[in-house]
Amino acid sequence: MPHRILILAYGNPLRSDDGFAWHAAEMLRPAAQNLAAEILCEYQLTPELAATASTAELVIFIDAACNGQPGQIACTPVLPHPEPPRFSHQLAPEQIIALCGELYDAHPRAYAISVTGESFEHGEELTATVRDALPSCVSIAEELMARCDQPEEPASKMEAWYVVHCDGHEAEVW
Amino acid sequence: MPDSRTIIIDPVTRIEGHSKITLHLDEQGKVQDARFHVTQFRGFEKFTEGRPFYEMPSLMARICGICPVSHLIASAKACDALLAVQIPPTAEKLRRIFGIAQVVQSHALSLFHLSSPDLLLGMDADPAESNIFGVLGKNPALARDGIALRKFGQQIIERLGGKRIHPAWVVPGGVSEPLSSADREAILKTIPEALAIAQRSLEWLKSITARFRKEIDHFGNFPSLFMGIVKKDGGLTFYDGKVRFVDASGQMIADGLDPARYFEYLGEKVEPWSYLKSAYYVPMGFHGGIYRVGPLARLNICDRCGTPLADKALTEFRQLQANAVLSSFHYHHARLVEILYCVERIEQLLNEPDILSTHVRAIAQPNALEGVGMAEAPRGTLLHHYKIDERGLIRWVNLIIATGQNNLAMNRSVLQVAQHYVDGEKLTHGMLNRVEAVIRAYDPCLSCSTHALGQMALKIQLVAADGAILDEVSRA
Repeated sequence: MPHRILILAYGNPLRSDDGFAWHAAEMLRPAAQNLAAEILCEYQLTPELAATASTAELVIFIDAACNGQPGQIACTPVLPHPEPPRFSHQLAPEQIIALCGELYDAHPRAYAISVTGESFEHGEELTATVRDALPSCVSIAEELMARCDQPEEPASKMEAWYVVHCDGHEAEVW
Repeated sequence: MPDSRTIIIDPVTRIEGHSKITLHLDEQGKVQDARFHVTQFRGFEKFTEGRPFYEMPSLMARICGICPVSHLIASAKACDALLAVQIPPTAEKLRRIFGIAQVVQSHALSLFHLSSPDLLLGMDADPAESNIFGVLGKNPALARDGIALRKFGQQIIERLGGKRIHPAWVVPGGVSEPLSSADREAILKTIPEALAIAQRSLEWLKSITARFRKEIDHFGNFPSLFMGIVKKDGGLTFYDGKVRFVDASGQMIADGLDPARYFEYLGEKVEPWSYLKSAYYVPMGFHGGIYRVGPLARLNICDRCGTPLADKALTEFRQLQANAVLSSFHYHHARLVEILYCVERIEQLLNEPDILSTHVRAIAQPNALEGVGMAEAPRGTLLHHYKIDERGLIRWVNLIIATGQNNLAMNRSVLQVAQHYVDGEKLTHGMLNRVEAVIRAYDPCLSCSTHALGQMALKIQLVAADGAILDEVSRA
């Protein structure tokens, strides 16, 4: 039975902050259950995830980022972009969404939530900075899920939804 | 030390791992030698020393994200030998399903995601288009089929093992959980579509093969031995059997060899220019004992597949060349025959009357201090060999991985392709891609064979007689 909402949390949970999305996914499970959303925890985005994403109305990607200040959260709409993959079977959110359209004529609304990591060394624990960002990230994802039935934002507002700075100050950027 | 001029390809793209290729030219600019360098480093044999033996399957599964199931199975079989137990029949059947489901997903990755751009768009295609988006632009149905087939295998792994990557369900003595009736039914429902995809993909490949006549003639098309395990009746197997060697004429030169005594017939040599060891058949020496493993080898050594559609496909496969099928280009065809077999076999196993039995694990303490586990991974024969002390702690580990066993053949294949397509001091995309494509045919997994961190990449260098680098092409 396809789910209306798909949360794709990806990263390596054995590489400290790279596993941020897996931690966020655990915190999102109660809300996801209420909204009949499916959560998938992945090491990387592979082409076959497009088949699953194509059956959803809303796809939320959650990942750790390398760029920016540690703990900074960014939430951006994901638009299809069929540029060649950097690695043979590892795709970006934009490529997954492009595959949805080109292979399955499906056009789910999609957002990517990322948190800038501080440490990507071996380990299963998040750094304190990134751990502190978890509640905000979860709130953003929950808000996106709650807005699933609302009309899509106009294209002019699709640059970046909002950023939560590492000091906890939230700033909408549109 | 280059004795003439050398071409270096670094990194090699669309394979699993990081490597480079050097092509050595003579004074006339003709390719004299070729080397496939694996520049990753492995450490699993060493850092597992001192760990309890029962941790080994889960630890070893971490070697690779593509074929963790193969490592789980080979490792668990080595641990079964340490326990000296016969695992419950249902556990063995479930392990078999698990293993061949992974063969389906891994072969689908190799063929549809990594090699289909070469096959669909041609060897001279723009590298920027040689990817899954290029494939879907040209043949979206094929791209969809590749995704669906990979998903088929992954979903079986997830249903049995609890997750698609690094499942820990295979344990010493059997498996940790029985198969549920619901999961059995769910998997059975997916069989017809997977069978249909496997059949039409095979028809598609057969329909385009004639376009690659030149590549077939020069892509690792040379005499060698072929090795793998076969069932007692000579049938294709991925889980358990005795070792068989067949020569280039298709004649069996050794059969019924005990996997636990591999050291009597398998040798490994270390070359100073690669972290990947080169395996050879000991009775014929390092130079004469070159052999290939994997899909091409398995179909060359077996007497039959043992399932109706795959047996029919095997008959057609054997008509590709007289005697043994020698061209490594036909690894692709062999993969599709094996996918067909695996899907049929999964259905057979799921319909076994005891498949839902809850007796799936034999419990024992170690009864032997040494154990060997051998199985057929997607890329070829995989071997785990452990020695433990009286407390059950690992004291020594040896792994022989499929990619290492194909190392000599890959080097010779690169040489053959380069000698045919490289001439002069400049590298073209078509030439570079053909050198890469012949390696892709083997579907090497360098993270498996050397167990390193990091991504795969390829570099080709052209080196002159005096050591000067004349040309270099890199792809990251």
